Amino acid sequence: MRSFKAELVDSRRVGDLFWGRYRAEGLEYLQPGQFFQVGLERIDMFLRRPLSVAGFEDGLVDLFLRIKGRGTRAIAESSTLSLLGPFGEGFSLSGARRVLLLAGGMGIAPVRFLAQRLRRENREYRLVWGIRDGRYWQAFGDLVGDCEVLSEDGSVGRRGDVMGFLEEESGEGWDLVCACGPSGMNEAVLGWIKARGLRGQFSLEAHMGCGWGGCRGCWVRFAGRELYVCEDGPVVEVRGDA
Amino acid sequence: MLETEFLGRRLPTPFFIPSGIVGDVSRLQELDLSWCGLFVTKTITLHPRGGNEGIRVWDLPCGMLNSIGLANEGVEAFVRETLPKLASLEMEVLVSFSVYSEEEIPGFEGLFAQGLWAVELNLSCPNVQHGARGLIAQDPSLSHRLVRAVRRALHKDTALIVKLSPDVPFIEDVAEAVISAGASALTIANTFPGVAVDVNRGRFVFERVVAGMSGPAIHPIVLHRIWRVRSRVLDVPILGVGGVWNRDSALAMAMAGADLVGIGSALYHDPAVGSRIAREVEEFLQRQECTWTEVVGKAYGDI
Repeated sequence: MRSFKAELVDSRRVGDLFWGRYRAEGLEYLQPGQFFQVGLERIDMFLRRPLSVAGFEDGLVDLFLRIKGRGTRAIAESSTLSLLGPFGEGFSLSGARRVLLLAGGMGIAPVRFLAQRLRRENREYRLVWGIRDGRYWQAFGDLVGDCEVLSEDGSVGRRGDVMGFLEEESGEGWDLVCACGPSGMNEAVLGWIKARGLRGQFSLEAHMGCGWGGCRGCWVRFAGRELYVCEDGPVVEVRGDA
Repeated sequence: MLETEFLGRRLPTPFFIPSGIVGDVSRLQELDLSWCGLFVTKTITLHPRGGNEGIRVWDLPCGMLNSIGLANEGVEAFVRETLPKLASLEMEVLVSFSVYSEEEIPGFEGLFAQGLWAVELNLSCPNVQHGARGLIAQDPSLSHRLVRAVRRALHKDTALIVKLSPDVPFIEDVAEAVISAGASALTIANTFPGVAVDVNRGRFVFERVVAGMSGPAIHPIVLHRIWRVRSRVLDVPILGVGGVWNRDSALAMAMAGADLVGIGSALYHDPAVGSRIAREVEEFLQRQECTWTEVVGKAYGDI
């Protein structure tokens, strides 16, 4: 298990949304979908926070987060972080020529990293991102780049959400669907790919204790399976039956 | 200098990983274990348990709550699959198990027949239901009966360590009850019961509402429980567990009377904390020109 000291080199905050770019000395390779257990060297932030990597280029790690409480606020306010990891199974692109990427809200974090990688490998993809309002676009939009935005309030892109998009999309021509979003969206995407016999990969989240398979804390039920997100995921593959 | 003797065995260090911290033993390879003298397994129950529904861990200032619910593979699969993996570890292993009633004890015969040097009987997990009376370890006479029955079922060469709950008014009464029933050592303590509310959702965090609290915040309260027992019971080793996170909290636990000191939740905060504590305690002992054994119980002066 490795731990990296990360120094903040660039950042942006829009309301409760935060982007930080960090230089992590010695970090050489990351798989899109992997996460770090992000901590601070102070005992009053006891458990680390599992954060998906939102990008990795030229030795710089991007983290996207929504400030929800004590821990995420402390992370956003700190110029140095301790990154334990990377942990978990990432997205697996083997055999995928055309990839559909679906992100809901903060689920853009691992999906943006995946898009970055797909671009670099000159693979064909289409990214659809559902957001509640324009803040998400202001905070992360220029980093995400080419994508179709659906906003619930209609302030950016088309009015709508990922579920609405799926109703209009036939699913034909995609070898792989990669999704990360709130549980309601994940369930909808799951039903959609199953009905169409598609191959899907979902990046899941959970409250975590350790991140390395010790505590048995990050238990979730998804697609009829009981999973420990840190060991069995965070990316899990589901194949449709059609 | 950290070498210590415990129930007739030489341990390279007095530090141990308490029960429940590493539930999947194959993950031990992720950790630097050079500091660790003893590994205690996740508590094994008669039947497999999937664990509790919903959120299972919650961060606190200086601690955490967990509601794992003794997720484990059950004693049969443990003996068949997990025990052989543990045999390859280069350290002493202590198997932790729990029984809800005397009727369950025969189900553990397969485990007891393994010729183990010691086992830990966990009477105090706050995350499972024992019926209306709460934890077994909250009832001295029930604890006595269960420990006596387990003692009879164990091989005579297997030491019986009993893990007590800190959530009792007079822990020394429970300690004496289990010692008189045949306990060779005591683990003090388990997590404290706690409750969290997610104010964003306006709901209790945990499905079972109550969860177990651990981490630095409980350290002084655990020292209080160790003190209560050590003031009454002198000749039974104590495995201290609760909130150790740095050199001084480890030394304090020993000086308050713990023979061995567990490092648990702090490994989630920082997996390197165990080796740091061991190194710093060793430097402390060198500077003070004393051994670990001389440090244990030092706070009581000459008694």
